[in-house]
Amino acid sequence: MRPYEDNEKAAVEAARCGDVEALAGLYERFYPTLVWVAYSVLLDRSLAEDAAQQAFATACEKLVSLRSVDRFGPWLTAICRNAAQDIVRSRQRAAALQKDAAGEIHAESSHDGFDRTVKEAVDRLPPVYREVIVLHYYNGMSYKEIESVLGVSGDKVKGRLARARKQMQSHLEKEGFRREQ
Amino acid sequence: MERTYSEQELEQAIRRTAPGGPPKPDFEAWQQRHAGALCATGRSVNRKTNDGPPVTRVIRLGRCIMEKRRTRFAVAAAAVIVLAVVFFGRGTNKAWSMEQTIAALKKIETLHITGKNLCEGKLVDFECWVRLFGEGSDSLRMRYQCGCERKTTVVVQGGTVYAYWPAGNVVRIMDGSKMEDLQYWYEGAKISPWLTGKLLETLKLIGRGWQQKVETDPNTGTEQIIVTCNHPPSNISALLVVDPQSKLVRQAKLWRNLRREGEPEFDAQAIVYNPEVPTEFFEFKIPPGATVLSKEDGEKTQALFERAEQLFHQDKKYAEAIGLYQQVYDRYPQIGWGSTSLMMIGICHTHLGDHGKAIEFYQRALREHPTGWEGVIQFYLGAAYLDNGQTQEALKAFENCLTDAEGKRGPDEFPVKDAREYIAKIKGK
Repeated sequence: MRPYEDNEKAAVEAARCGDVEALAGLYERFYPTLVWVAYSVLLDRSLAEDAAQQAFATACEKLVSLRSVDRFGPWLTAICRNAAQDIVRSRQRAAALQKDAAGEIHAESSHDGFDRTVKEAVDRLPPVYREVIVLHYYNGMSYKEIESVLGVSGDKVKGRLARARKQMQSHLEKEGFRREQ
Repeated sequence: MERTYSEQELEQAIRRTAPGGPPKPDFEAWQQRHAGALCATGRSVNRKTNDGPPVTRVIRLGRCIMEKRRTRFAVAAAAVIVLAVVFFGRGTNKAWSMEQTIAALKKIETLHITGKNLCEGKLVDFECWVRLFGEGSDSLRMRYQCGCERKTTVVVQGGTVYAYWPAGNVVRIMDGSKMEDLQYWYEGAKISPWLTGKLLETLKLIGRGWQQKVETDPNTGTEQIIVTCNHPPSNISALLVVDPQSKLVRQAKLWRNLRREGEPEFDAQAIVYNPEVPTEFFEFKIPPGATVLSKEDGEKTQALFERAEQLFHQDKKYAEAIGLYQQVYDRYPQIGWGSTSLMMIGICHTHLGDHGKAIEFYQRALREHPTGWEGVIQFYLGAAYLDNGQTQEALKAFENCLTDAEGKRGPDEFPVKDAREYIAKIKGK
């Protein structure tokens, strides 16, 4: 068991002082979330892992500038989002890579046309909506957990999820899948 | 034909579309890839508080050991000696005491260390001589010769540091007080020669998990003491071979993990105490005809380079960045800034869509001045060839990138992973 496992604030304070164990605990706690946040921007799992790792490194370098340790989660996810956007911007072939990656995922996960269409619907969502979908369904996070890492209110999380589902529903309808009443 | 689905089916389908399994955090692997970031946590705090208690400063300085690729030379050696003393100080073995070791160290005027050290991502031979003429940072003299391709020599004369690259006959003069890696030595020298006195008392606090055993050296048949230890906050572990007679360290190894796994990043294979070394050996003489980059020139060029970097990275003004990189190159084509600038000009041209020009600059960067960036330049060259429709040339450049990365970069690091993907794509066509 890592030190400060139950106390995020203490872990952040200790990490600021260079405690490697505390840093390891934070890394383990936040890494999956960071990967999915980056994925919602990049649509590429491998690049998302790179972005998550880079984001954590950037966070270490800037940890001293974090004014409130309570905001560590939202601050870290914002860094991760920026890291993912940097990858998109800096990679000339980002668009092509995304297409390729999406193609691979379709091929692997398409048990039937429904899954493929659902995947398309997720991919077509604006990143801000895709983020909550990915955190909720891929990462299994509750509304409250999402609220704490994104630093937005619970109502906003619910609202984004509802709008995301609505947009997905409309894409599914266009593709011939109707929701049961 | 229309198909219906329930909310539950939709939710299950979303979950099924997640690419790959749950992300698995691997902190050790992250540390390997981002060692500098770990170092930065300590530095950041240091900057913020400006001046912590001595032990904190020592720990933070220690954390940066082995992480800098530039001028890390004898820092690790200092740390090893410090660790040795600390562990003796905490030991229960009546055969030693800290006082004995301090007494032994007080008699040392000069050190000569040979071994292997990490330079530009490669383990290379090095040789280092250190002398303290008295107390205070001005008394520090050091000469470090790196066995890397560039055969860099660094001479520290108190606060002034000379770096010399024989291939281009270039000397750069630097301010030691601004070189983070040297601060450990200066701190030690300020307090007392060979890190004795108050600093040792402070350092007694930092060692953890040490073990010691007496063994017979299979080569010489003499007894030696093996000390192993680690320091979790710095994420380093060390193995020291100590001479039971003199109480001095014969060999020292440092790992960038807590379990002494893999190749040590610093391996002092032989430490000789008080060798005969003439005083002039520690004085740097500027070779005839050498290009000398003064402290002021260096600072100006550094500022120019940083402005170019800002235009490139933050402002995305590639055409303007080219102008500044070119100025840096024109000033100092022979040293690292020059070749890095050529590479950056190539990348700017890539961003501007002029792939022919990009290729020209990447080739020049590779040809004119070898640095640790070859693999990266090969990758960019490959990408530029690909954009230019020269598939076979691209393939060769990506393969060169992989060859260069062997032993330097991990398989998932940039640009190794990317080069591999491109090769697969090209071959798959």
